[in-house]
Amino acid sequence: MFYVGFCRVCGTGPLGLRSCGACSAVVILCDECDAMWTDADLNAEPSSSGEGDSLCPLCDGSLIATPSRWATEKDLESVDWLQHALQQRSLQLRRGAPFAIDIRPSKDDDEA
Amino acid sequence: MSRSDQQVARLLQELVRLARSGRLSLRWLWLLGVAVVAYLLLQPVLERSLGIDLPGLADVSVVTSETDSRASHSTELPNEGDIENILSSQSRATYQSPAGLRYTRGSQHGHRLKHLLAHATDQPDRPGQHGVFDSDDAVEVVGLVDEAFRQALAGIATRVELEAEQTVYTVNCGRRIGYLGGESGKRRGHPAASYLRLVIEENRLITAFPCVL
Repeated sequence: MFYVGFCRVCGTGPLGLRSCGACSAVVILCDECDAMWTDADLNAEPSSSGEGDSLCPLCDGSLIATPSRWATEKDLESVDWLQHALQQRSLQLRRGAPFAIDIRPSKDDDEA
Repeated sequence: MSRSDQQVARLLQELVRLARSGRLSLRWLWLLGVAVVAYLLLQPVLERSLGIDLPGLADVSVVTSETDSRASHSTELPNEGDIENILSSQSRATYQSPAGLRYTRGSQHGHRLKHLLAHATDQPDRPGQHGVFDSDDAVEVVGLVDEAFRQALAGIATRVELEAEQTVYTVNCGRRIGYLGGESGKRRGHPAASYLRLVIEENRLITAFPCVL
């Protein structure tokens, strides 16, 4: 997962770059509390997740269900606001492990 | 302690709690105490002399508990069956905790309850801080979140931050509840955490995890 810092809402979540499966836009999504930003202005008020899946603030598609995914390096090349923020050094791009999904490994996994 | 004694003790605890929270003045507490003692003394005499079955204090206690549940102040334990059903299946049912927190579907874990329980194990490669609960028992963790939520609502040892639709409570639990994991926690030697951070939207839990201030 590429991320650009940590969330000021929850204080700890990495701000991952998420590619929307419906409209292909790349948004910033907190990997902890699901706060969302549509561009590099992290001082702006974030969008929140609502009752179910986090929805893309641009098209209302699910940012959680496939084909949405963490953005790849190739995805990021065409994101103008991100490239501009990186050039201006207002954001720093880093790579790290996303929040693991499988919280309860089966007993077989434990024994293995 | 007999069941009836336990009910009396619970009722008295409720009254003391109400007095502490300021919802019941000492004068009313004193009057209620006198009324309870008088009822305890008179109940068997009246039942014998009138030949009727008067309600016991246990019944009064149940009413108190239901009222508090509506007011999100019950000390009832989380329902293990409901929690396990969501954790062990693909159920997307909403779970409501005794303190009134709603756990709905959402997050990359599919359900907020699963997301919460993902904080019961360390994720050493996760960037930054990853709060880890000492307990990995779902009922205990949900109970701890309820306890902190009640404390936050009472405004006790809690920092409150408002951000758009979300309210973030950082509650001093006054004891160790977990430790700091993730990449940052690993670097810092996994320091003990006695604070619980809750991110809430209305009465819906978004996330909660142990943290260090």
